Amino acid sequence: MLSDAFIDEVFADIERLTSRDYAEIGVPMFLIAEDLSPGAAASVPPVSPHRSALLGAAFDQVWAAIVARKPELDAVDISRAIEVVADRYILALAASEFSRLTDEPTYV
Amino acid sequence: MSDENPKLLPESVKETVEFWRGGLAGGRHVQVINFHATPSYRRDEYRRQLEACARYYEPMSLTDLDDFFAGNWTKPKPGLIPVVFEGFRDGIDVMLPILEEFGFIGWYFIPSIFPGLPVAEQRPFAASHHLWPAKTEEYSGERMTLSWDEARAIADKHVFACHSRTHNFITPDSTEALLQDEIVTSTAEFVAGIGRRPEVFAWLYGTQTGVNPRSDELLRQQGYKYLYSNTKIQKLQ
Repeated sequence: MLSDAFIDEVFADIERLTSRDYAEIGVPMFLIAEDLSPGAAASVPPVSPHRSALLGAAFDQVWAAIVARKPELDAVDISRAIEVVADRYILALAASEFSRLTDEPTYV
Repeated sequence: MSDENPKLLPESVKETVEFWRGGLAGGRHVQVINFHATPSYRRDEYRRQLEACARYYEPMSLTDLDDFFAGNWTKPKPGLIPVVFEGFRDGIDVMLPILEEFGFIGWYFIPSIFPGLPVAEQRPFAASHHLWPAKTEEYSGERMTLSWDEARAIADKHVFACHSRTHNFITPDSTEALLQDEIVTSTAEFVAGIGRRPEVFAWLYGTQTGVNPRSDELLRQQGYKYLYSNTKIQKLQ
């Protein structure tokens, strides 16, 4: 169950992000890789399963927040959800584990 | 050009949400940053953002994208694609040095007719084709687009992609004439301009496959390998 505070924060982020001048800013996004080529594998293997799982959960929560407040949903709402998730996590989720900071940076 | 909101997604909202959930949780996502105009008065902002990204991400070439799709990603960090849409001149003057400072490969999406227009026609064309330059004009009276010469000079290091011919979009009802112009003619203009065949295509509003099957067919016939949309990077062949 999401708290009202969490939902408020999602909508505040949407308002903040959509009030920017999109014509001249950088907008981080995640794009899903879909292989339609003949003989393609069913799916692209994940680079980092645990980060992907967190990202999926983050999307679920943001989408649930939007669903909780908006009775009519359309494609724009999905774009807003992704935009919030990308803005929040494109840097945060990519950071290296604490224990790896003693070594050369590595992602996998 | 109509301002009508085109149909972008062939799937329902529910199907699209499921697609996203599965794509993110399954790790089938690529990180991108979409830029359009990149005026010099925002240079420090772009620089801070890409400096931060460089700590966590690797540059991504077309070959790297092929490797990602094949499950052969071997770089120590995930890939990031900085996309520079529209072919504005500040994409070269302002953004290119920042990309190169931090080792990123820029993906430049250009409407093929735009760089070849006479200077006097560029601003009216931009205003009527959803090409929004920086709010504060920095090239008053001069060309506002990158030139094909500039593109050709960096095409070995960066990716140049076709963004239709006139910065147009498609619908299920788009005519054959429109599709020929926006896909086939644009590809020929691109080859003439940059000396190589583009492998990536994007429509205005980022339409994906499935909205107009004839468009999908023509993109494949013209040799496009990837379609860049609002929600997906689709490997076509």
